[in-house]
Amino acid sequence: MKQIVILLLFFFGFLGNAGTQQIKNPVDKAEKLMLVNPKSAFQIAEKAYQNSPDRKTKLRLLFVMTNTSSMLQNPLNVIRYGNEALSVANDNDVVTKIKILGILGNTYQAITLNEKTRIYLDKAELLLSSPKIPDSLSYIKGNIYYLKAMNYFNSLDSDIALSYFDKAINQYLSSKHPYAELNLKLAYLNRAFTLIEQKNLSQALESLKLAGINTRETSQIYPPQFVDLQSEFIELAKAKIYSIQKNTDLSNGILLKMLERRKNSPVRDDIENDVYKILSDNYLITKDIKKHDYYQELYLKRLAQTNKDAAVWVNKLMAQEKLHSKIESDRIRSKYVYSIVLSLVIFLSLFIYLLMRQLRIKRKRSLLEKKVLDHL
Amino acid sequence: MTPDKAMDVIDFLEKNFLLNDDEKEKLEYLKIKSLFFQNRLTEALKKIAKDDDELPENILILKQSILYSLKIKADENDRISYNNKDYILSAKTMQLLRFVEDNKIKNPAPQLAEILKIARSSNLFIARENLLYLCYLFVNNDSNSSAGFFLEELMTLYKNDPDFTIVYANYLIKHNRTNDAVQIINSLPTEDLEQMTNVYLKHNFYELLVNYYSKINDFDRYNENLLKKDQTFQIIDKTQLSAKNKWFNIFEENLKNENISQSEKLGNVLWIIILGGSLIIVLVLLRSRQTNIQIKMYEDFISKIDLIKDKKPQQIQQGIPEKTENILLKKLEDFEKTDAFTDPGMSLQSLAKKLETNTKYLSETINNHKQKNFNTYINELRVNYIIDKLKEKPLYRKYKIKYLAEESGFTTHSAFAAVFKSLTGLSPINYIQLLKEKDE
Repeated sequence: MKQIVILLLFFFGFLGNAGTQQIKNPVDKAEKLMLVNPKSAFQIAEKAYQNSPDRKTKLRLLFVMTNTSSMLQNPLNVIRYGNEALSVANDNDVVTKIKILGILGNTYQAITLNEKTRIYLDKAELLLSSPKIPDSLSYIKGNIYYLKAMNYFNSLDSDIALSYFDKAINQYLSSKHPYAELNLKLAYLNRAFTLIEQKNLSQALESLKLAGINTRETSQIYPPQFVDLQSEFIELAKAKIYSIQKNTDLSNGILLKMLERRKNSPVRDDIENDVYKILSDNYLITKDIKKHDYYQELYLKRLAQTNKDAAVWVNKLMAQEKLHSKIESDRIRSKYVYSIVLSLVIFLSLFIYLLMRQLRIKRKRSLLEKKVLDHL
Repeated sequence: MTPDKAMDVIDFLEKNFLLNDDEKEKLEYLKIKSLFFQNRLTEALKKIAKDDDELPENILILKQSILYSLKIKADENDRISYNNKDYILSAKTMQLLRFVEDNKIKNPAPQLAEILKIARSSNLFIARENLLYLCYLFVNNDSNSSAGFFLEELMTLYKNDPDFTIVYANYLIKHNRTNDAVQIINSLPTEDLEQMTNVYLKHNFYELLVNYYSKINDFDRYNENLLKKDQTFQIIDKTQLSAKNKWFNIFEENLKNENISQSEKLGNVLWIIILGGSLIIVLVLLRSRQTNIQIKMYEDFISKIDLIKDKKPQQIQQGIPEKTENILLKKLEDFEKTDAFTDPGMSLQSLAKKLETNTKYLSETINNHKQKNFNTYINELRVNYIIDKLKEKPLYRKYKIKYLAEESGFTTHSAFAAVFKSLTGLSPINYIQLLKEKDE
């Protein structure tokens, strides 16, 4: 299911076009390239960022770096630049803030830090009620609701997940944004998976139907592999439904075909985990222990690997946070040490000056005192 | 098998006995372990959230074990106490676990033999979790069949621990020694294991049964135990995910608090320097001011003395017969030798009467020959009288100003002080102080 989350990486992007060579401003160029060539967009933004731009430009560049890092599946950079962007943004940058909070929430979700996901998405949801958010931004609203739905879905809170999917769908339906159509289908697809978890198969099938209409036509703006992935997930959902209905032959047929197709694909992704899981469930229904054990083992191995990969990111993130904390700690220390040394120098200089002065006037007083005593 | 009961016993001991630090530490260790076995990970994590340096070695080893189970990399620790066998064993086990997981080692037999050697003389209770992780790693890793001797030896060392028995039985099943495994399974206290609160052990037990029934192709029992195994797995998985989140939050909080605490400490040092420095500067300035006041006072005194010296006698107005004036001057000299001027009622009239003259002659004589009016003349006599007393009789220096004023004929001490200062340039107190210094 995690692949669906990755599809979201396009949620906050801009459309690229062929004329980027003529754009001289690196910020505009990076923004235009964000979707079509995220790697290049990141490099341009990173270079421009080093030239200490003004706050507004800084925020735009940080957003590009956050979003492209998300697209390039580099959670460490997403978290680094995303949080930096949030610290740069002010009260007027509500829309950018919401987008960044969404990306951060999505990233934490990808590395299974659900609590952090919820914190960021709750903040984003809170900002949605800001008077600065026009109704026309229903596409962004839909994205945040969608991410929240996915978060609850991953936490196995399917009732809440469903209510957020419905909210997201309503927003997408009223949106005229070019990406709204495919995101709507993503929402229908995951709504279907949630309904399957609840064993509400008839509604799940309806939702799946809506997830599959004209996918290719409505999503020409997306690279074709993402459309294919959407179709694969629809197939997976169908196989799951057949499995629950104990129609194992149909289910196995779909799943084995999927595996066959994926054999030729150079990319291995989490969809195979679910394929193995459903296959093992199906063979359990047919009392085929050997095949069940075989697919169960494959599933558990892949699951362990997925968890290990997520753990690797969490460990890397912790190491990054530790490093940043150390840098921050060094900055604080050097700031205070500088202030302490400066204060000591100032006070010591003043003290020495006053001491010398005091010694001088004391000497004068002694002389006068002696004179006075002579007169007494 | 019953960590919840262990918790009750620990609570009882803590509430009813006066424990020393060593006993408290041991109970804390047991408490964390019990929480861990019960899958109460969030509570366990809170107890191990301290910095590694602040934790006793046994708890530090347990912390590393718990973090390992969550796949969280523990901090690199340089506190390797080479005298502590438990820590050495833990470090070596953890290292081997990482090497095997990352496929960095082909033949782990020498390392396993070394670990066994250390384990034989270590605290097995402390080493338990890490050794168990190692066992499961080898059981689930088919390529490492060389681990058999290690598992057998550990089963002997932990002969009453069902977890090691279970893992060994799993090993036997994996290596097609089902007959040997079944004997072990039959010897397990099945009912107790079903009832126990240690979810990890429970999960391992169901997993063993699943593997066994799969091997003998008994579908019904296989399915029944698979369901139970999946249930415990889901509980463990959900708790571990939540615990990982919790640990990340604790980690972030600790980093934040460390920086805040450092900031506060250095801020306090800066404030102490600023306040202390300011206080010292103020004190030095006050001292300077005091010295300057004294300097001014001495300068005034000296200038008055110089003024008196430079004062030229004024031309005497001749309104009074010379003979009368000489007699009056003689009488005044005699008067000055007495203490009569200390009479507070002394006035121009009373003195004129006393000297058998009139006030006009007396006033004129004083003005002409003493270059001052009658009041100044009397006050000067009084002040000089008291100065003589102060110089001659040190006891006078201890008297109060009020007494000195009365003694010299002044009706108020403020008038005395004012006249004294106008004549000497010094206050009576300063004058007495200087006299004391002079004598010293």
